[in-house]
Amino acid sequence: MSNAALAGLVLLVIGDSHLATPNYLIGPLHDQLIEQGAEVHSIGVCGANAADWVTTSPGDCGRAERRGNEPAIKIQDGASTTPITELIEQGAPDAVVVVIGDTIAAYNNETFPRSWAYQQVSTLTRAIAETGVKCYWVGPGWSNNPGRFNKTNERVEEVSDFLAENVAPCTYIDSTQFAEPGDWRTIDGQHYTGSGYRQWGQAIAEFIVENPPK
Amino acid sequence: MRPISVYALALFCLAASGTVYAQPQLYETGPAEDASFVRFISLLPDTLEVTAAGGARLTLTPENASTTWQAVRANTPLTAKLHHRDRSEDITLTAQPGEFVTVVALVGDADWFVDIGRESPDDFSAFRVSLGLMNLDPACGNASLGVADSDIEIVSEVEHRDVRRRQINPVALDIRLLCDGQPTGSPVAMGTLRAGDRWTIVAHPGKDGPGLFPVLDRMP
Repeated sequence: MSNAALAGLVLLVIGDSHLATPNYLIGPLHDQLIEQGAEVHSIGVCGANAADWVTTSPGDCGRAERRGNEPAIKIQDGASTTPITELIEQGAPDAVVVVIGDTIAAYNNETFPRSWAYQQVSTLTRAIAETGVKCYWVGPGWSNNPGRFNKTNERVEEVSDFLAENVAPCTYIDSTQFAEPGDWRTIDGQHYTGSGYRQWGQAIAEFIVENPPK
Repeated sequence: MRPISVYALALFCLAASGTVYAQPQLYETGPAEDASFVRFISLLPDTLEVTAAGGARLTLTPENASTTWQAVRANTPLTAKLHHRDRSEDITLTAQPGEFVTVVALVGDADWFVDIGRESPDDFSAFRVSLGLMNLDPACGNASLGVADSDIEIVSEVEHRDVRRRQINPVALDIRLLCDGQPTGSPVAMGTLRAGDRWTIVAHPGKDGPGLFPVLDRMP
């Protein structure tokens, strides 16, 4: 896939636990965006909700950050988000890639909390939109079993539909289109094995290549 | 109609705990229950002061007539004192999970009064415009919101204190109120609506009959 299609572009990738461990998405997605020629800065804060990224908000279970070809740096204690406006001001990205779906899905709740999710999503999209920077929003992928997070594919579908309707002006990247339910195996119902993250990362990168920010 | 900032609004204390928006959360998977929201609107001709149980205060004026939404804890009594000129009104309300509660100070026949509209919307969209009619005029039966100079109804049969919504395309729009099917009051020019915006059109009593007051719904 390497054709430098993203050469000259600066991409900022932020998200939740899927980016907060070095061999999760912060590995293969970051790598594949670099292979396409982009300059990439990725940050994942485990457990971070969307609106947590408009302020400095603590994360309960670690943070990973990676710049360019350097390895990801993991912080377990004292992790927190960095406000999106600060990240954009410092890095001047051409686009922001938000990877948030599972943290707003409320898998343990019988019903999807739409009002709360609306608040979460609109707070972050508005903050990004006010900077004028383009953005992508990556929604949740399928689970292969509900696991300890109780991640059901019915809820994944509901959350994905909600995000598709509500993340504009960000471009929605529908991860459920990248595989069939159960194709990507998980270690706990939510976090994928290395193979799953490689496939997910490649699919996201290919989407951005096919739909570049400019 | 410009919204008050979140800081000014962070006053609507919880009567039970004194804590604002203590959101119950489960690790990594969102809240245990849906969020609830409260806001204040004043349709009075001059200053309205809103004071929470904890003493925090904000002021609404005709130029700044509405607050943004503030997230509050559901199923917990909330109290506030509304003061206008020489009289105060104490209110207590409880919001359900997912509910949006609007407290409105209104002009009455003899004196001002407070009414409350509630809704639990699920029509969130960044591509379309949500127009809601909140009927706070008991004299306006079967309230409808229509497109001015046409027979097109946007929403209809809205009972007192109820809200009905409809998604429309982001277009230029003039609206009018109908009570029991009859056009009432003057049309209101909404200008060109913007995709993703949510509006609540308050139908309210007035000395010349029911009127409309559009409020842009804003998250903090």
